[in-house]
Amino acid sequence: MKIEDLYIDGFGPFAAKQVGPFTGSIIVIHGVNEAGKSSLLAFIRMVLFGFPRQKSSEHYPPLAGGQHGGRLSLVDDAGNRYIVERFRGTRGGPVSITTADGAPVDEGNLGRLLGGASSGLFSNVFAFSLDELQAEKSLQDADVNSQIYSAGIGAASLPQALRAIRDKKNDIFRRQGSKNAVADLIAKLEEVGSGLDEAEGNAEKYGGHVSRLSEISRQLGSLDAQRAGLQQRSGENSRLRQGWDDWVFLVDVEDNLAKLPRFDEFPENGIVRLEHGEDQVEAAKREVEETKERFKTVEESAQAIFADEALLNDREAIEHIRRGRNRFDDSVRDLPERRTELQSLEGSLGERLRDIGSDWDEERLESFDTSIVTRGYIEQVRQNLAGKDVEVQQRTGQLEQAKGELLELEDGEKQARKNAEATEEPALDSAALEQKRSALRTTRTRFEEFARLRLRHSDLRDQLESSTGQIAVDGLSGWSQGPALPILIAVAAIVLITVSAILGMQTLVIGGTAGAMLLIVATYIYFKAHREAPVGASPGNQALLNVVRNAETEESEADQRLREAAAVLGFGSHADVAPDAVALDDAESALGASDTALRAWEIIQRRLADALEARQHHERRVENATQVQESAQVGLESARMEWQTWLSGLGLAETLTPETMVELRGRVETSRVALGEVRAMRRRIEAIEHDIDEYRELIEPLANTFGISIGTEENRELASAADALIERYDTVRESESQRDIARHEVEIIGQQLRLREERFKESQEVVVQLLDAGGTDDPEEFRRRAGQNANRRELEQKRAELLVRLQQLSGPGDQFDGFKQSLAQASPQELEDSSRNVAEQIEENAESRKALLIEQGEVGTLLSQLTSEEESSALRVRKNALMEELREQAREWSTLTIAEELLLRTRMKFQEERQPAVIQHAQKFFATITDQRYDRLYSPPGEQTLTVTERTGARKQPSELSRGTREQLYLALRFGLIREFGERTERLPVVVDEVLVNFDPDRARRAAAAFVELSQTNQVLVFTCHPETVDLFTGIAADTQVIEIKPSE
Amino acid sequence: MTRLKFIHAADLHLDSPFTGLRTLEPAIASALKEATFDAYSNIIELCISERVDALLIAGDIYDGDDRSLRAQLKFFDGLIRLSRAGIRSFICHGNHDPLNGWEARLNFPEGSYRFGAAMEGISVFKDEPGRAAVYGISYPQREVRENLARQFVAAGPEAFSIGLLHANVDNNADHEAYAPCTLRDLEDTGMDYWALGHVHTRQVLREANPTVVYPGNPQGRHPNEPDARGVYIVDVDDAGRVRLEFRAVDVVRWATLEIDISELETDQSLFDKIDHEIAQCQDNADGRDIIFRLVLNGRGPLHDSLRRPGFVDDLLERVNDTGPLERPFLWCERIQASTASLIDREQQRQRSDFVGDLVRLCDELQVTPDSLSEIRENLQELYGRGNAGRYLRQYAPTEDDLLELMVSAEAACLAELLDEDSA
Repeated sequence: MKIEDLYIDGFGPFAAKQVGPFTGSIIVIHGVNEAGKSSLLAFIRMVLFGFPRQKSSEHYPPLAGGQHGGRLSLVDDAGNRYIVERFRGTRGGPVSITTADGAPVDEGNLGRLLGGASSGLFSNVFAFSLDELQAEKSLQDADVNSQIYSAGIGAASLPQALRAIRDKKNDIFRRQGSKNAVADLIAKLEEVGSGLDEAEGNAEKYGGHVSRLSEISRQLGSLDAQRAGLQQRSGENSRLRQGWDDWVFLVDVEDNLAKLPRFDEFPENGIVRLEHGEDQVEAAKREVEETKERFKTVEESAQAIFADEALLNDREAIEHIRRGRNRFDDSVRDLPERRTELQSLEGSLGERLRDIGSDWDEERLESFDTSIVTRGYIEQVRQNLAGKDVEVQQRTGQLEQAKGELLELEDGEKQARKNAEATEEPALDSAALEQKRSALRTTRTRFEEFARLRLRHSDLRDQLESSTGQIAVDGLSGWSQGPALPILIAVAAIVLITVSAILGMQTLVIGGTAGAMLLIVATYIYFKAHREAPVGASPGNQALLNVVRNAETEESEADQRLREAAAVLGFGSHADVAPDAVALDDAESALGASDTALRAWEIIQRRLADALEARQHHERRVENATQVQESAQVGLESARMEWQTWLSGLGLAETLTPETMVELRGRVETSRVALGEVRAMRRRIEAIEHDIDEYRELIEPLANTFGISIGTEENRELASAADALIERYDTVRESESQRDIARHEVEIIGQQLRLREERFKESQEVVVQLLDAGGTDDPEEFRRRAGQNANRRELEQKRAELLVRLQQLSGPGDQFDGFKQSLAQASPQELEDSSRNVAEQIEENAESRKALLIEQGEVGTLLSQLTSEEESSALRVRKNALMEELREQAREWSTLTIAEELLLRTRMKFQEERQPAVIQHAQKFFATITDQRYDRLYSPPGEQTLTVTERTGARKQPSELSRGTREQLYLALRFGLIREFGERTERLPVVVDEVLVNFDPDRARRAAAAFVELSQTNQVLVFTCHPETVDLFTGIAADTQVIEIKPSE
Repeated sequence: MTRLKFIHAADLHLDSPFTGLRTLEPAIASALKEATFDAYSNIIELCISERVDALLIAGDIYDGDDRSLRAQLKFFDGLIRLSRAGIRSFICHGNHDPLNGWEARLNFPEGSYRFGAAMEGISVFKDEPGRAAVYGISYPQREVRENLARQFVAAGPEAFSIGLLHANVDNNADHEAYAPCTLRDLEDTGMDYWALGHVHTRQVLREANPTVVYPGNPQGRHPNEPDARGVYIVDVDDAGRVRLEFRAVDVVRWATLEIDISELETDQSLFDKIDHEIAQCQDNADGRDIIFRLVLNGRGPLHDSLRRPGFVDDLLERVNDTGPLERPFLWCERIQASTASLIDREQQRQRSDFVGDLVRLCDELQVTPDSLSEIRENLQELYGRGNAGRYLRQYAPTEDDLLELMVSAEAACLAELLDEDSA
């Protein structure tokens, strides 16, 4: 692949810059410092491989403007041309590839154009600067390294692949390491193994535990038997000790019982009952005395007498005074206020009456008629007067309008008359005109008949002539040809003259002249025809001749009928010729003109008549309107007179209109309301005064009777007297009520007294009976006997209880007897000693048993744990899972180990078979450049090292070479790679920037020669600022293309 | 009329762990731990419900070194239940639970008989010795390489004779050749029925004269023991004709679901396919718990997804993410991604570059296994030495394994190399 030219849109110092075309196989681009050589080198790299993603500092921004990027024109080894264009953007900037004629090409083709070279390979091997040549690390780029030592086309990622596989492998297992998956798994397996080892001893433990459990059970059985015997003894002792106190008590009770007397059927609870009876007697006695005392007190109250008792007889009057008391106060307080209100109302009424009229008073106001009838009459009069007034106005307006219209009609009549007088009456009237039209229709019919017969006659004559060879028969031809045409012309002339005469003098002159000329022409034709007429007829045609003659006759008759009909139209029957179609049309036109003139005349006449009739009709309307208006005026006046008469009748001014009458009536009604209020107030005052008088009449007699004085201030004193009366009455009522209550109590307490006296006697009887039951009448003796009886009962009950308790301890029957016997023989001390002894033995037994039970529980727990032990199961599950994981990891590790081995073996094989190509190319170049001083390069298979061998056989590592020589070695290595690359894929252009500057002149020349040799296969672009470098290349290769670039460009 | 009805079981491997499982949810692990016991319990209940005359167990009741006390107690508990139900039990031991294995001091219940190291015959019906007899022998130790079948001789034709033996008949390659014998050896003994154990997949080696049966193990314990597992109910009529009926007693069922990714374009399509396969699997499990392994194979675009770090783990989590564990459960124990990318291997082999050399080298190695010795030696670092060797020695790759690993290794290399190329 070669670069043909390049176009920089914007890049570093360049904008819109075209460089090229590159025509030579080696192109030297010369420019001083800062001319932009490095920018050009970078431009080529970036267009082909994209802008560096991370290193934006190396983007060479377009300082001179333009879009950041540009294009390269390329031609591949097969001669196909492409344009690769790229501008800065995401992912290295978008690239477009087109053919030379602009057709788009798939982006993938760029990779093919570049022979699959990566960016790193191209930058370090094909397009490099002095800096990169000097930097040893540039050849340690993973890609380049791989290229050098593996000549690794197709294995660019081998180092990374190897590293990745080793990393993964080591993560799984590394012999020396402890932090890897396998080591982790083994540690876990060891742990699980320990757990399982422990679990293995469980069976032996299980057997031991089972044996021990059995022994414990046997010992427990023995202890249980011993404990049962001891517990029995302990129980007996315990029962004797428990029963001992009861036994002693029982013996004492029985001794006491033997000493006490026996009372049969002594009353139960005798003492209590006696004391209760005595208490009852005492209480009843006390109640009787209290009741008597109270009866006496109440009886005194019931007989009491008190003052003013006579007031009770005037109960109704007093109650009346009490009910009217408040109303009396209200009346006394209300009276002055009502009187003031009355004065105000009367004043207001007076003002209203004065507003109506000075002669108005309450009486007239009351008598004035304001009925609905009157109001209706006033409204009727108002409407009647208004209606009549309106009617008078309407009638007057109508009369004025009628008069105006009459004047207009009179003017119209005058105009019509003038038009009639200016128009002549036509000669023909309607009847005459219709008669002539009928005649014209008949004439036309007959003319058509005549024309048909004449045509027939003519046809027959033509047949006859053709059969005889003669023109005509005698008499016939002279008629047929001679008279026919002249007759028609003559008839036309006559008709013309006649019509002209009908239409008037003027048309008569023209029509007459034309008619005369037509007559002269007809005469000439007729005579000429007669002079030329042939003679003689052939006998062979006689039959035909007859037919011709018949036709001639019929024609003649038709002609005659035509003439008769035409005579009515004014064509003379004597005329020489019958009228023709033209004459008939003219006659019809003349009739049309007469008809038109007649219609116009009739219209004018009709209009005149209409105008005359209209004027006369309107004159009658004016007369009627005048009469109606006068009648309305009379009606209005009459109504007004009637209204005034009615007003006078009521004593009112005649000047009042119905409207003012309505207002007057309103005021009268308002005043009447005020009058009503005045009168109501007067009635109310009278009522109040009446109430006060009535109250006084009620009080005064009672006050006098009971000594209550009434002073001068009547109303107030009267109120005081009333209040005194009421108070004294209430006091008397209260005293009476208390006396009534006391009387009622006397009865009730009397009854109580009787009852209590009975109860007292009953209680005395109960006590006597009780003493009898005790066999005595002395209460004290009764009490002594009751005490002895109670003591005996208590001892007997105690003895029964003691026997039950002792029997509960011993059991029934013989056991109880034995028990009593043992008690009779025992002593407390003996029992105490025996119990202590047994208790000690039981305690010892319990402790032994407890220890065995604890042990049994513990062993049982251990056995239970062993029986339900699931840990070993879980451990086995875990062990299996771990083993499976371990196997899986081992398998993965094995895969990776084999993968690594495969890569290493392949690389070895690759290096052995392919490395010579790169090294041999490089060796050749290096030997050339160093003038054969170093004639051998060597890279041991599998090792990424390089050794150079001097001609003398001395071997050196690159680091042992001088700077210049080392640069030459790296240059040679690049040449080797370029050559090897090109042998198998696209040959890419080589772009170098000042790579010869550190070479001595001789080696520089040899290196330049090597470039020239390389240019045989690869395009070479050399950037330099040194003119001698330009000379060097042009000196070696005459076809070297030199391109100058300048900073300003 | 029924002369004899018994259940033939073998290889209980009580309390043996499930193998092949890497990680387990605690709840699942707990269920699996009980699975062999539950299956044994199902056998006991089947004996009782079917009212059989006897239960015959042909060895490997325990799992050898892992024989736990709990297993022994549970086993005896089952025998006691049978004894109470009046059902006899006959037991012989195999290579996993030889007589010299440690065991708890437990007494066999009445009606239960364990055969010793010498062959002997026991009547099934004590009061009718001529009706049926069981002949059996137990392994005295794990390694029994002699032909024990030859020791069996039926006492006479009148009783229905059953041979109870743990043995490898006709050299079954999937199992150790313990007590090896041939079908012919068995025929020559005069037995009417051979109740065998040792082979875990049930098979009827011979239908009649004699009937020779491996019932298989009653509970599958790893992915290679899929499908229904159980016992045979053997019904012998008066004429000595045998009718076999298999009954599944397993509680957890193993399945391997294989999915070919060739036709699958998207992750979602893979999820859908997995869901579909799981639903089918559930339909076939009769309501049992299921543990399955998902094997993805084939060549397709999804291979790249499957290679993404964490993808398979996430997928596993998604498959098992069905909320709180409920019975019956469905658990994916592993996703085995054996897929290949769309990389055309043949095309790569044609390349003249490094990649081509690599592929061709692999091809050479595949056909010249001798050259693998160096690789094998490299692997010894892990399998043959140190602590890891102690655990892994027995799993050292065989020649076939190596060839298989080679394929995986080549794929790993290509993935690394070509990934970078395409990057």
